Amino acid sequence: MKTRIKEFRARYDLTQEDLAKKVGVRRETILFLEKGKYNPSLQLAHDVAKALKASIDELFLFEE
Amino acid sequence: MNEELKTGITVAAVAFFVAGLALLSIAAGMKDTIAWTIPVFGILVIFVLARALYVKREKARIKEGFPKDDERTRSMKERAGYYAYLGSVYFALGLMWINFLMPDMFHLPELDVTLVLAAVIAEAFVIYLFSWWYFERKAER
Repeated sequence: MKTRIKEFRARYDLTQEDLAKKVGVRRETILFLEKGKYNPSLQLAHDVAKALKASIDELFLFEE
Repeated sequence: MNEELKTGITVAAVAFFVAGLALLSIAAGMKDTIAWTIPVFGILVIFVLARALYVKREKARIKEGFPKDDERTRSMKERAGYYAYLGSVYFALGLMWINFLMPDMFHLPELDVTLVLAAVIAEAFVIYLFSWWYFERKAER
């Protein structure tokens, strides 16, 4: 699964640490989310989208 | 219960058990038992040092504002625990078969029960640590 978390993070000049603290997760979790190596729960996806002022659909690109 | 207290209780319980066994062994004059309590103490010291370093690193992270656990780390621990459980079951089954075969087929003595139990526990621990390390690196879900 691809994500646009890094792109949105750059818009707000947030580091991975900043975003992790905002969402309430560890920095490694944000790293793996950006790399598309971790599939978040709906709650986490919502929290990340809220922190980046985006929708889940905008951030997470599901491949058919 | 915080990590330091958990580590302290674990270490104290194991040290108490091993020390008690060593004292009983001395009282009973069982020199072989004393011999294996020394490496067990050595492993305990290594465990305490590794645990102390881990707790120190985690405390630093919590101080920076990161949580101790999140959904990913909890999921990782559950998966590592599952693989450790599976591994220990198959390992114990394997040892059981070896113990059946050794005396009859290879004319070797049966495995010592204490060593088998220690090996199964150590193996589960190693599988847990390896699985946890692997999932931390790969982060697959």
